[in-house]
Amino acid sequence: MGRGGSLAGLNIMALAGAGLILGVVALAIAAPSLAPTHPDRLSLEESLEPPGPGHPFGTDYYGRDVASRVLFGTRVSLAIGLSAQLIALVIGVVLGALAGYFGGWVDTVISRAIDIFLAFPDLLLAIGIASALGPGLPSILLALSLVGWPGLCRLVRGEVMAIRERDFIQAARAIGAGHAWMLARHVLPNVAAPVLIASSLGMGSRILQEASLSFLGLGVQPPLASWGSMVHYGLRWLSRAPWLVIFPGLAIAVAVLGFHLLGDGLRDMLDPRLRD
Amino acid sequence: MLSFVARRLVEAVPVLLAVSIVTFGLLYLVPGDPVKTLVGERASPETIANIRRELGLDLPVHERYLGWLGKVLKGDLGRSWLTGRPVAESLAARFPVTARLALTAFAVSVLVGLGLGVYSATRQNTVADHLVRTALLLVGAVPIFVMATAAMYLFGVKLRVLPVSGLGDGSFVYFVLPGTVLGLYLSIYQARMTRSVMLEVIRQDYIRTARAKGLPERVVTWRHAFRNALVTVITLLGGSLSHLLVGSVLTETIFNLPGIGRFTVDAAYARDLPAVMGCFLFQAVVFVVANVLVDIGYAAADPRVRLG
Amino acid sequence: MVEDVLRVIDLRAEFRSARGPVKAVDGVSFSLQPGRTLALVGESGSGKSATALAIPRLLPDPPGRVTGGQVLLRGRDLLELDPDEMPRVRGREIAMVFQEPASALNPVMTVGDQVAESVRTHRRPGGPVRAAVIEALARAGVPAPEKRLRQYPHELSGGLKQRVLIAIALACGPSVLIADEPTTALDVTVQARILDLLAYLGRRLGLALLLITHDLGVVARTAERVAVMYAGRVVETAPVGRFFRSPLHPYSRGLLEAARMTRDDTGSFRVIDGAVPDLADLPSGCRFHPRCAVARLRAACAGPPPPAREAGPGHTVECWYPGEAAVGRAWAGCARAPAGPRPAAAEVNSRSAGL
Repeated sequence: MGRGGSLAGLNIMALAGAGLILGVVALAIAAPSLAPTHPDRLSLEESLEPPGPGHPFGTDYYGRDVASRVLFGTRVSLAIGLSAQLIALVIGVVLGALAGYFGGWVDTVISRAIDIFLAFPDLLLAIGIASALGPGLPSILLALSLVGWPGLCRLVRGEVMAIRERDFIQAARAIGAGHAWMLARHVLPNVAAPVLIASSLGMGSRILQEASLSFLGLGVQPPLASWGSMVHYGLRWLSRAPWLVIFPGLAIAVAVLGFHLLGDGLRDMLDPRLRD
Repeated sequence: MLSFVARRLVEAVPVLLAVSIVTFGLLYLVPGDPVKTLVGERASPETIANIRRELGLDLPVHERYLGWLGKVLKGDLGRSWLTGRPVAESLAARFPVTARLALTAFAVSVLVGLGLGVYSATRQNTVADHLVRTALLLVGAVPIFVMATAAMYLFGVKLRVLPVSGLGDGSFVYFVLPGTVLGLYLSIYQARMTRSVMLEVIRQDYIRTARAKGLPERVVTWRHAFRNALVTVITLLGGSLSHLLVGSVLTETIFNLPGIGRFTVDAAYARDLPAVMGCFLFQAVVFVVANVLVDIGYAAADPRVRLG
Repeated sequence: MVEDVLRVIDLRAEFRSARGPVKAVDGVSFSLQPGRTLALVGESGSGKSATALAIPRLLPDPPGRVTGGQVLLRGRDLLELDPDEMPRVRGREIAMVFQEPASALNPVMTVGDQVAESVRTHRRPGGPVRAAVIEALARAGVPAPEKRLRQYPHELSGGLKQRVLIAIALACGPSVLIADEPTTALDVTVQARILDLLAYLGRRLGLALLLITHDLGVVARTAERVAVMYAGRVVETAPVGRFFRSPLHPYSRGLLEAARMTRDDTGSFRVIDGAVPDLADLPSGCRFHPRCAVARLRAACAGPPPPAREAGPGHTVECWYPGEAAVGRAWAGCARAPAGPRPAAAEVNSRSAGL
C-alpha cells in the first residue's frame, strides 16, 4: 500500500490514529482542569456569544461555555463508545469462538442469530430499542452492543474455524487438551490481531452511532451531554450560532478519524493479505 | 437462473420471519406494563383497556404474535397511539418522499462513488490516488448529520441558493441538498469498495489481453475492467443500502422532509410503539428484499451465474 | 538473408521490490524474421515472460519498468513512442497469446464481442465485422464458429479458449506474434494441436513468432532458432539443429541433459544443482557460475562477466569455457538428486526443464 509508509516498522496511519486517540483521551481526563468554566454554569447575559477570548468556542443559548461542554462531552462520548464496544466484544468473541470451535448445531444457532441481527440497518435497531426501552444510558448501551456484536462474532467464528484445522491444534487435541484450555491457550491468541483491528474500527462506529442516536434526541438525555446531543440542541440556533454545531461536530470527526486511522493502519501492519 | 431466484426468495422467508419476531419483541422491551408506561397515567381506564384489547395483552405470547403477524400480512400495522390513524396509511403517504430522496441520493452516490473509485484505482499510488483516499478518510469520519448541517448552513443560510427545510411544493429542488448530502455520504463507501475491486480486476489476465489487442486505455478501463468490477460492486451495494436507510433517517430529520425516516424518529420520540414497530418492520423488510434483489442483479450481471 | 521485422537490442527491465530493484531483463538482444519462429527458453524466473511483456510495453507499471535498450519494429523504436501511440501498435503489428487461456478471456463478454473488438479497433477496409470475426475463429481452428459468437468463455474448453485467443491475436493480421507459454496450461493432447496450429499459421501468414517456453520438446517441434535465457540474460542463441546437436553453454547442456532424462533406476530425476539466483542480488561474473560444474575449478568465471562470442553461423554464447566438459566427473553438474523428499529448488528445475 502506497501510503503505508512506516516509521521504525510502525505504520504511519496507525501512529497518527493512536496520536489522535491519545490526544482525545487526554482531553477527556484533563477536562476539569482544562475547561474554562463548569460545563453547566448558566450565564444568561452571555447567551449565544460567538467564539472569542473568554469563550474560545462561544456560548449556547443559556450562556454555557461550549468549549467546556465539548471537553466534558468527550468523557461521555468516549465512555459510552468504549463500554458498548467492550460489551459487543465479549459477546462477539465468546459466541464466535463457540460457533467456530464446536461447529454443528451450536454454529447453526449462532450463525442464524448473526444473520438476523445483520438484517437490520444499525441505527434502525438502535432507534427501535431506544423507543421501546425509553431513551437513556441503558438503552443506548443495549442498542449499540446489539448492533456491534454480529460483525465481531462472524469474524471470530471464521478465524477460529480456520485455526481449528491447523496442525498445532490437531496436535494439542491429540495429546488430550481440554476444550476450554484449547480455546484459551491456542485459539484465542491467534484471533487477537483481527479482533484488535475490528475493535478499533468498531469504536469509531460506536461513537458515530451514539452521536447519531443522541443527535436524534433518542440517546443521551440532559443533564448529561454528549457531542451528538450537543449538535441536537445546537441545530435550532444554526442560523444565529453555527459554533454550537461546528465544535461538537468536529470533535466527533476527530475521534472517529483517530479510530479509523488506527484500525486501517493496524490492518496494513498486521494483516498483509488485506493490503491493496 | 430461475432456480437461483427461487432459492434466494425461499431463503429470505426465515429471515423475514425473524425480522417480524424481533419487531414484535420490541413490545417486550418496554419496562413494566407497556400500556401504562407508554400511554401514561393520564389516560382514562377505558383507553387503557381498549389499547390492551387491541394489543391482545390478555392472550398468551404465541397467540398474540400469530394474531399480530396475521394482521401484518394483511397489511394492517395497527393504529398510531398519537394520531389514531392506521400506521400503514401513514407509511404509504410518506413512502414517495423517501423513495425520491433515496433515488436522488443513489444516483449521486453511484456517479461520484463509482467514478472516484475507478479514477483512483486507475491511478494507483499517484498523487491523485492519495488525495482521493485521504479525502475519503477525512470525510468518512464526519457524521452525516454534521455534513448535512454544514451544507444547510452554507447553501441555505449563507448563500441562500437552495431551500433547506421541508418539502415545499414537492418539486425536485427541495431534494437537491438532502439528496446530494446523502449521496456523498454513500459515495464514500462506494468509492472505497470500487477502488479495491477495480485494483483486483486490473491485475487480471483478461485486462492484459485487452491491452494486447490494442484497445485504448479508456476502453480497457471501462468496457473491460469496470464491467467486471461491476459484478462484484453490485453484490456489495447491499452494504450501501443499509447506509441509505440509516442516512435517510438522519437526512430527513435534518431537512425536515416528511418521509419514512422522519416518521420513524417522530414515532420513536413520542414512543408511539405501533408506529415505531410499523416503521421498523417496513424498513427491515425493504432492506431484506432489496438485498435479495441485489443478489439477483448480481446473478444477472454475471454470465457464469446467469447461464450456469 | 531475410530482413528482421523486430530487433530487440540490449533490453533492460526491472521490478521494484522491497529489497531493491529486481533486474528481470538485463541486456537481452535477439531478432525475429517473418515466417520464422524463435523459441525463448529458460526456467521460471529467468525473465522470459518479462521480456515478452516489455516488447509491447505491457509490463505492469508499477512495479515493472523498462530501464534501457531498444525495441525496433521495422526500424522504429517502440520504447521511444508516446504511450498513446502504443495501442495502434498492439494487436495491429504485435499480437500476444498468453499462458492461461482460462483467465485471459473477459468472463462477462461473449466470444464474438471479444474477437469483434479486435477487428473493429484496427479496422481495415473490407467486409463486415461479423464475417471477419467468423473468419478469424475459423482460421484458428474453432469448430462451428457462428455458434461460438454468442457463447461466453466459461462455456468453452481450455483448448478452445486458447484458439479464441489466437483468433483475437491474429484478427488484424499482425506481423509479430508473441506467445508466452501458450500450451503450458493445456492437456498434453491439446498442446500438440495448438503448437502445430501456431507453427502452421506462422508460416502461412508470414508471422514472426516469438515462442516463450520452458519445454525443449516444444522447441524441437516448432522453432527454427532458440535463445536460452538465464537470470535475465540470453546466454546462448543458436539454430535449433545446432543447439540440440552441440549446445555450448553449460546451462544449455544441463537443460538438455535434464530434458533427455527419464526416471533412472533410483526413481529420481537428474537435475542441475542449486537454484536460479536472486535477481535482486546477482552473483559476480558469469551468473551461472555458482551452479556450473565447468566453473567449479576456474577463477575466471567469478571475474568479469563473459562477453557474447560467435561460435558458428548464427550461434552465439556467453561463456568463458564454451563446450568444455566438467573437470573430474564426466558431468558433475548433473548431480543425482537424493531420493525421497527432493529439495524445492531441484523440483523447480526438473519441472521447468520440461519433464
